[in-house]
Amino acid sequence: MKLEEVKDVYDEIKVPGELDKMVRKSVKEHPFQGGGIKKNAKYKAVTFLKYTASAAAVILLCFITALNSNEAFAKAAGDIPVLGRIARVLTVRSYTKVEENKNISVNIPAVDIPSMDTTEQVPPQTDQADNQTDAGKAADQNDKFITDVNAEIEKVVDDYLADAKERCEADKQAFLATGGTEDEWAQRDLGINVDYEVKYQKDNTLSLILTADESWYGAYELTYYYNLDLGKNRKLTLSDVLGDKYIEVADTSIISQMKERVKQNDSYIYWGVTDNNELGITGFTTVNDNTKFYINEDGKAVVCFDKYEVAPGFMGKQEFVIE
Amino acid sequence: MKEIYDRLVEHILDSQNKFYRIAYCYVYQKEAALDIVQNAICKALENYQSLRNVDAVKTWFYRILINECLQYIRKHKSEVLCEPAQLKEDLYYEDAYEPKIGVYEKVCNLPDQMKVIVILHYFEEMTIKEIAQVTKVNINTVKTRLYAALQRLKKEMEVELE
Repeated sequence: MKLEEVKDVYDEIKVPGELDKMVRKSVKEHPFQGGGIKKNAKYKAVTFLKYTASAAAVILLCFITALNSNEAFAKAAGDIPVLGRIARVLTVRSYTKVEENKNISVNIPAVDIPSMDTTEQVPPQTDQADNQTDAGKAADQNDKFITDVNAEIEKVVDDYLADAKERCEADKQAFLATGGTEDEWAQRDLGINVDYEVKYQKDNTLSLILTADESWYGAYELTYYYNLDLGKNRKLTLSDVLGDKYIEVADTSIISQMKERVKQNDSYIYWGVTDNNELGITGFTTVNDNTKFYINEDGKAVVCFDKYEVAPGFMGKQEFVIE
Repeated sequence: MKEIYDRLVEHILDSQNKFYRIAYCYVYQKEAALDIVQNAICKALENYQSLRNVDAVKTWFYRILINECLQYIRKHKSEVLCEPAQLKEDLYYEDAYEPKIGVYEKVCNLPDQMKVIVILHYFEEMTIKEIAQVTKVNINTVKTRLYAALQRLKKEMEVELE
């Protein structure tokens, strides 16, 4: 027998499916490095950056402490380029207009951070080159997050306005079709309102609510909640504010508050909670990741339910402060 | 430099199955063979800057691969065994192959220097010249070792047949 024939055995060795995946992953993890950085030089550069990053972190910590303890310093801090990124909520679009008998009043908010020229002078204690890059990068991520949130807000408002106008038109047609006159329609006070309120703003936390409604109808009111962590560039969740046991904590608090309110008001009722489920309507069961909330000026989480969500419509929106 | 990187990646992606089979001939275990191939790939992708000649990529990589195989065996001496039962698991086994598997086992049991030459020449169909580059020995040495390997295998098989 020739050895060539043994090759058949060799060729029959099963190649596992994971091989290809693993190979592609390894290749991906080693992309081409232009400029031929040698291994040692790369390691040195990384170590160097680590040192300057931690130096920058220490400076930042001192700054924050100083900021909180000294008002004069805080004011001056607003002018320091790299470190003076303090967020504001601005009204970016505000108008009232009368359009075919509709009074439209709109105040659209946007989160704003005064834009930075990151090539400006840096406080002398830190290493200039690396602090700029680090701050520049952080600023870019921050900008992107904020741009995304602002875009979201704008879209929500635009969509709502478009819907509201449609509804208004449809209603008008129905009104006219059932015998109403143009004059009578004109006398109705149709207002479409979009407004916002900053509920809480401290350090890097920002909580604002956006409300939209049509005043003569009222039934289409919508509320949107934006709770932002501007330091970490993400939206806050209930568990961020209330901790790991947030479900337990919130549920207990909400249920006891519901019972208390029912005691105070004869006509009140919370489906599923205070009515022994007589009506068979599912109301409040538990909070979860999607539960709406905002942060009030005391820094407490306030869980919010829309009209009809946990109670009959006459009770309106329901809010519960979680201590 | 980019040319060398590209050629290397191309070689890795195209010949990954070969790499696996070679490694398997050393360790006879799927997981171990995968580990070896992965290590070899990472080593290659971290150190290709030392290459000057783009044509050397192929043999250079095999060199790294074989080294990884040998290193693995050194570390896991006790665990590496060519077991017929295991082989049947890892091969698309057919009864007709039975005698051939016997020879395959014998190849696997050859001393390292002979084994690598047999594998690369008969299984991977590399030329003697290429094998010399991979194993970093003289061409004539390769020829001698190859011949010695064949003699040994023949003798072992004769012994069996008797």
